Amino acid sequence: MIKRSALPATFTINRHYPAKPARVFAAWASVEAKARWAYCVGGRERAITGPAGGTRHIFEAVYWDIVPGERIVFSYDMHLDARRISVSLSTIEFFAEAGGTRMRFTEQGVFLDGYDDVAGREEGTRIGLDNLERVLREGLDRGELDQTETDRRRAAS
Amino acid sequence: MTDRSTAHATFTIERRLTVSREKAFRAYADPRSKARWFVGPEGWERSDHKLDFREGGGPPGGLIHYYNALYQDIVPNERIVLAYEMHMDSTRISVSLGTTEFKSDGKATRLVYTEQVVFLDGHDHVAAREHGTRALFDNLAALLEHEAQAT
Repeated sequence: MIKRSALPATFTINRHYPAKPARVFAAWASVEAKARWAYCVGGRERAITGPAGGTRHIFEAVYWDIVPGERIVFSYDMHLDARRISVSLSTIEFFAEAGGTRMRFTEQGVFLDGYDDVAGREEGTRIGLDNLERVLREGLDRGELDQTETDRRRAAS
Repeated sequence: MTDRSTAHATFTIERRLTVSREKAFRAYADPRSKARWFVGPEGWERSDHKLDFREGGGPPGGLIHYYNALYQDIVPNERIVLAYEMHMDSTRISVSLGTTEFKSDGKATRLVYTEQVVFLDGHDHVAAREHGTRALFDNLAALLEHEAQAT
């Protein structure tokens, strides 16, 4: 018998990226739509990760609000194998600022049945955002410069 | 051009219902019962209510609904987690996560509702949303009270 509980928690992560909002937004749209799911309101996404032969972490999302270049709102749940451990509402906002984009990620989650490691979720989310930053920087290094970065490099040279 | 903004908020409402949690849960799961309490204020017209009470359940068809919910987690007699959006005409004004817990309290039920919401682009605010939600729980409590007395 599972002892039922539901713990609501909210955290916010701010990041700066050296690219314009449209470019950072596009990275989300392409990262999130990696297997060519329709990236549109009402669209769904599913991703399964985990160590070989170990517990499967299953992420399933539904997109509620998409404002190109500005905002993404999605809800998602996480399963460890067959057990649902959380349901979350995530808001990602993109703001133009000097030298690039400030991205604000807000998660409002409810952690279920004792799986209440909110700090672990925040840490996992930060790792995901680190990956996004790496993808963006690699793109910039390959010459996929947007105007912000072109201007910055011109000013620096 | 819409000036984009967000406001995140959380509120919790607790109610003691004088029925078992099985009965309280049924008021959410049964479309006829839900249609009796999940309504607007006095004088508001009744909308086209459709309920598909199962995980992943939502209304068929388009997005232009005042209230459009997706059931994310259902534990019979214990918990319902849903995500929902509110529209005013064709403008999306908020997206929310609503968690309802049914806790046995002797022969009664303690209902705990937590809403985690993001209000969009300056529309609506948490005090109004909490007020409107409390009115729904007033309806629910009155309906269950009425049914308990009728039996």
